[in-house]
Amino acid sequence: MIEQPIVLDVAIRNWVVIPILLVLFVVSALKMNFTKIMQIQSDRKQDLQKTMEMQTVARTRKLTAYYNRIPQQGFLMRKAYFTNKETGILTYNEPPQEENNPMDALMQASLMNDSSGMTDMLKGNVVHLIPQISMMTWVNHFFSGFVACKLPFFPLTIRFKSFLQRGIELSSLDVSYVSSLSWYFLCWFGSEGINAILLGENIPSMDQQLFQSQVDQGPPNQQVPIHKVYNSERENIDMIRYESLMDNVEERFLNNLTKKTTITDFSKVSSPSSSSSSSSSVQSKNKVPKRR
Amino acid sequence: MTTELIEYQSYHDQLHKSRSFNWVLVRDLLRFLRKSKFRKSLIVSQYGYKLVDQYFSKLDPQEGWDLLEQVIVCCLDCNQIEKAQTLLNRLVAKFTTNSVRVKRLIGMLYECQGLIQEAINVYQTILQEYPSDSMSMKRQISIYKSQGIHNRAIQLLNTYLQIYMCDFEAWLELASIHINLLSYKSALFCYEEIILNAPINYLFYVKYAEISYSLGGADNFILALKYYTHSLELNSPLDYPEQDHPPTNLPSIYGIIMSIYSFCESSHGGVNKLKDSQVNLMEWAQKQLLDITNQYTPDKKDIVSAFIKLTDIPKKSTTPKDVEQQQPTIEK
Repeated sequence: MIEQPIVLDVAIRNWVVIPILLVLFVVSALKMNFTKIMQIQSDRKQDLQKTMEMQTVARTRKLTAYYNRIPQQGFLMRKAYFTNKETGILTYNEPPQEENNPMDALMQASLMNDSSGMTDMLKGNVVHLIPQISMMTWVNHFFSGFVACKLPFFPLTIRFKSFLQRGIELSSLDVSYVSSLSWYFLCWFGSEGINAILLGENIPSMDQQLFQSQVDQGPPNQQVPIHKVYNSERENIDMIRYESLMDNVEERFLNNLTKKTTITDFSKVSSPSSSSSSSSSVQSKNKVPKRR
Repeated sequence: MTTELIEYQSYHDQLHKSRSFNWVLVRDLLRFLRKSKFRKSLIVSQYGYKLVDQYFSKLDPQEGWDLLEQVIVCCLDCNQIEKAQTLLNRLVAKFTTNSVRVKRLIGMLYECQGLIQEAINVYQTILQEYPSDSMSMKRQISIYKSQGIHNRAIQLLNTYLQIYMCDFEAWLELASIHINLLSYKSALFCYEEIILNAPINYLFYVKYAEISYSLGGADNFILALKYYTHSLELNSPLDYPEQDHPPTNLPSIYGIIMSIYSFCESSHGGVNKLKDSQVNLMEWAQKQLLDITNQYTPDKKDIVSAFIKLTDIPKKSTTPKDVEQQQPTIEK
């Protein structure tokens, strides 16, 4: 069968293809400015209590990881500070009515977790979703069923049909013809980079993003109520059997020294295979205390 | 770190080479300094002032205000109050005095003018509004420290550290104040916290050992010895022949010699309580010290060998088995 090229009306170009492109550009420009305004307004007040909790968790994690580098007395002091039954700061008073009423607990959890993060997310979603939905309905309503344009250059496989001809259910139509809705999607995905260049989203804002990401560190799961995190950290500290890295540090140091010098001597004199085997055995012996 | 230094150096050279004022270069330099947190106040106050004074319209508006803040801080660093004042007026005109950052700058200006009480008032009003503003807290602490009111500084640092307990630079600050006041026990605690936060930095182990040595007593000498040795493990003496700078572990080597010597001299210590490995370590340290001296500063050899002779310990007399049992360990 010989493909006959479909002649597309010039009016389609003038009243469908170009308007969609233009409107998309304008909307994304507006969106960008709108998010900026939103960002300025949502100055996140850092909650004192919350920073403290985050820092406490970070500190306990460091203690559990590197406890063997401080003397036993120091470790016990810290252990008492964190895990003491009455005064330890990890013994968090659990909300009492938790079992009585699950709704209460839920409320409390959401209150504890400071809803500003959620509202920020909501704002971002609103800013992104609303224009998207309204544009899609606009395109769908006014231009449904239009064959907007034809992709040049190369033939495409049949699989692209659903992607490029959304809204047109014609099995005989060549794949390289693009429907108006698909044109909208193509422009939407493709225009982000161009917009970034045209609308001047440049380095300082990247800086800001970096800055924000550095500030917002903390325990990974914000949704977990803090007393649960505290409890698990407390258990972690309680489980530690103290063992110092410094117990026989002198011997280990001297051993490592002699071992290394002998290795260098070996490699000068004998074949590398023998030296490597001997060194690995020594190393494995010596590494055991270091790891713990 | 070194790559950043090289980058800074290249900026510096370019600045001096260019005859006319290259505002793009200056902007990039300031950007780089903001990111790397180098403190080059003089150069910033010189070039940056010109940049924000004459080329402000060319800057990206958002970045321009950041730059203005940066230049003001550097001017205050160099005691150029008038420049800072004029720039600050522009910030106030733009953001009014309600902005926290502007308020903080006003406080710093007061500090620079010597109006300490006013500065403290400014910071306190900020803290009432934003209780978690760490910068204002730090400024207050530094004011008290510079005034010599150490008690108040320690008090404030403690409250600061109750919230920001992972800020090991604050712990360093607290430790240095404690050392000034000779309360080594508290300083040790601070350094333990620092070691937990930066467990592979050998410098902190050296510092910890020094404080422990300063505390004195047989147990603390051994503790110091252990931490000196561990710092050597992290900063291995075998690495330095390949590096192009002199060894950086001399404090540890001197520390090992001194702490073993002091242990033998102290009332609860003595040569016979030393472990074999510790004696070997002493020998190694003496030899290493001589080697380094020969290699780098041969003219100081007399002094060093005199030091080694002075701090030498007598030979052990009893059998090692009895000694092991008497050995005072720090982990009781």
